[in-house]
Amino acid sequence: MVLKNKILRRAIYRISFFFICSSILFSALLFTALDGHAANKGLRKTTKSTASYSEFFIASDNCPLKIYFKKRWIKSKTTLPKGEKVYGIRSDKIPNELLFRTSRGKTFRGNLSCLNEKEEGFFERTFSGFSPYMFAGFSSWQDEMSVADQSSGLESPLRVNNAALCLGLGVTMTRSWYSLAFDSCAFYGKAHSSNSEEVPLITYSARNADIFGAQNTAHILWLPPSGNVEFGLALPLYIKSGVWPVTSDNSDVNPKLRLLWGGLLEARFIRGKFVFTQDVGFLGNFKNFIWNIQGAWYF
Amino acid sequence: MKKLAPSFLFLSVFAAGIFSSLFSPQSFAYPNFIGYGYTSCMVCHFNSFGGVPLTDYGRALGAVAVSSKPFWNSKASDEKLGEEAQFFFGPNPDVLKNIRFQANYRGLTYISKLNRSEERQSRYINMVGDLSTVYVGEQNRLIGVVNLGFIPPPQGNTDKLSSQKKSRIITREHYVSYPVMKKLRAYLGLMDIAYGIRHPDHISASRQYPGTSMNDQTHGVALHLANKSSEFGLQGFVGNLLEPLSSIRQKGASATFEFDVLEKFRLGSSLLYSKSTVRSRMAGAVHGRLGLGKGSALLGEIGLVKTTLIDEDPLYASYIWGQSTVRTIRGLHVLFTAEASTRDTFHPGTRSLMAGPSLQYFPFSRLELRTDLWIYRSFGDPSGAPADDFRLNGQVHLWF
Repeated sequence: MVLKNKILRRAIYRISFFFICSSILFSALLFTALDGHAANKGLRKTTKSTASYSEFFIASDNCPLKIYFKKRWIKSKTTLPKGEKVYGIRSDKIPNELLFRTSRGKTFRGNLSCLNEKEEGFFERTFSGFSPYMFAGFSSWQDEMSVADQSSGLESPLRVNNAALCLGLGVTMTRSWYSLAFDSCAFYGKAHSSNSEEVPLITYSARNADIFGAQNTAHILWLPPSGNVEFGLALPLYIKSGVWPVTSDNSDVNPKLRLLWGGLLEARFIRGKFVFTQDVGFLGNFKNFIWNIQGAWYF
Repeated sequence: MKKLAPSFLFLSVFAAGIFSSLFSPQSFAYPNFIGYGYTSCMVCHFNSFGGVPLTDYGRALGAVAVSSKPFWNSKASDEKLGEEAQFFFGPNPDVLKNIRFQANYRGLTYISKLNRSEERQSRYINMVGDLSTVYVGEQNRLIGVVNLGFIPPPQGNTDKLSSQKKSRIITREHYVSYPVMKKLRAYLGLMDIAYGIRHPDHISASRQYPGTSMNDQTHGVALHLANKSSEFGLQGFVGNLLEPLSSIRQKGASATFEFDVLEKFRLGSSLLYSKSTVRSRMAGAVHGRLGLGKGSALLGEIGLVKTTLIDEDPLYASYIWGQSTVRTIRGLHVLFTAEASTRDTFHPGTRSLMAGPSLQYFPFSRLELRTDLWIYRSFGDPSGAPADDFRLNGQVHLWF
């Protein structure tokens, strides 16, 4: 019991340390990437002061656009058809001015003064720079460990099937066509472990062993024109510890703390303040598959 | 087993799909098309519960909303695309104005145990090849459907099987339907059982456990009631009368109900009871479909199935199935499918988990290409923690 508590205490300290350090590191990387991107696109000047983003549906028939082109306003020859979706970035300096990108992929500066927003422009949703959220999720993944006989030094690889529930917090930043997000959670679950070799040197099996740990994930997401969905990559870092049953011959399961990284395909589905997320991908190497679902609520 | 490089196998899956599409000829309206605003099957299918033959509107919709514009005619108007999507690549000739035809082909190639080269297996299966003929009466009142298809040969060495068992011609649908009241349509004949979400992945537990899979059609009578914001279906069935073994015909009834909670958000439930001299089956499910944006969707179903084999204790199987669809660009969808299931819910035993991404591409009307990477995992297996089984599917689906 003393041993178990000691291991547990050490694991909790290490997980906490990992949690804080990786959060700082991920946040720094994420925000650096965001700033760089905005500056490169020349959007920073406008976005910095406003940090307000909107999605519009143009509900007016043939609203003539005024396009800011080479230092002068000109009336566009083309018009936005009804139903065209515009991802707008509102400027607080010039009324009705928007930096926007149409669903056909054109990005330009325009003036929608012809629209009476209350009557004709349908305001779909607004992002105010950073959107914090809380979430709960379920993950299942497979990873590898080993069992070692302390007296003889013999070692056998183990395969571990994990299933865990997690609870955490995150933040999203959405721009006109992409989102960046970062979240952290603590998880608890059960694992089933057994030898991965057909003829193992040390036989070991554990069912329903407790596992716990923390997870930090960075998300890079593209907003497809179809709306209400985001699609992209999730890059998680896991740290996991488990309470593995000790065998009568004093074999030991290693490592005590398992650090795992991965790359996942992610899809997010947005309805109002609720977001459903599903990820599939690999942890550590291309043999260890992970599946993850989350439900999030934006504050 | 042959050892092949994964990249070669992956390319083979695609190549086989594309190659077969050149030389070969099912309907393609799926429940996740709620993302396009279509909450009900009855808009695009002659059978209000969904089924093979598409209506003229369904064909046109597939061409102008779901599929990409054909690369050889990318500037074609929607009206022209809709017309070209019909069986005769244009309007029906006058002599056949009450007749509709539809031919379908669906082939699948798969590589199982992709991550274990010693045990890797691959195979190509002609899953569906069928022809439907539909009689459409005046104002779409009387509708008659006859479908002829085949069952593919079983896996393994079939040399010793009789020719009848290798592959045989079957009919998966033949029925007549008539609107007995303004909102109530009656169906009589051989049809799929009205139960749960009718998605095309027929090997999933959500379709295997209740017995509503690919060849589980049954003779019976069905009623479909459609209101503005809800649908209700009731079906009584006697099994497939064309099956030679009458003792295994499941006789019973099913009911399914769906209603609009919000715009493009449907919740529903289904019930089924059937019995033969071999087994009785009782099933219940709760299901939901949510459309998001333009073309994206979330589907989910939770079910419990009680199966009692003669002289045995009942088994309670259960499943949770879910599928999400992201419409990235016109014609191209990314799907994420996941399913957790067990054959014996109330006793310790093996729990199965399947999950993975899919790409579904409609390059033009009449052609669907799909590839899935599905990973199967077991928990609680008495033999230990088995390695995941990675399975790669490539599908080609044509309809004329």
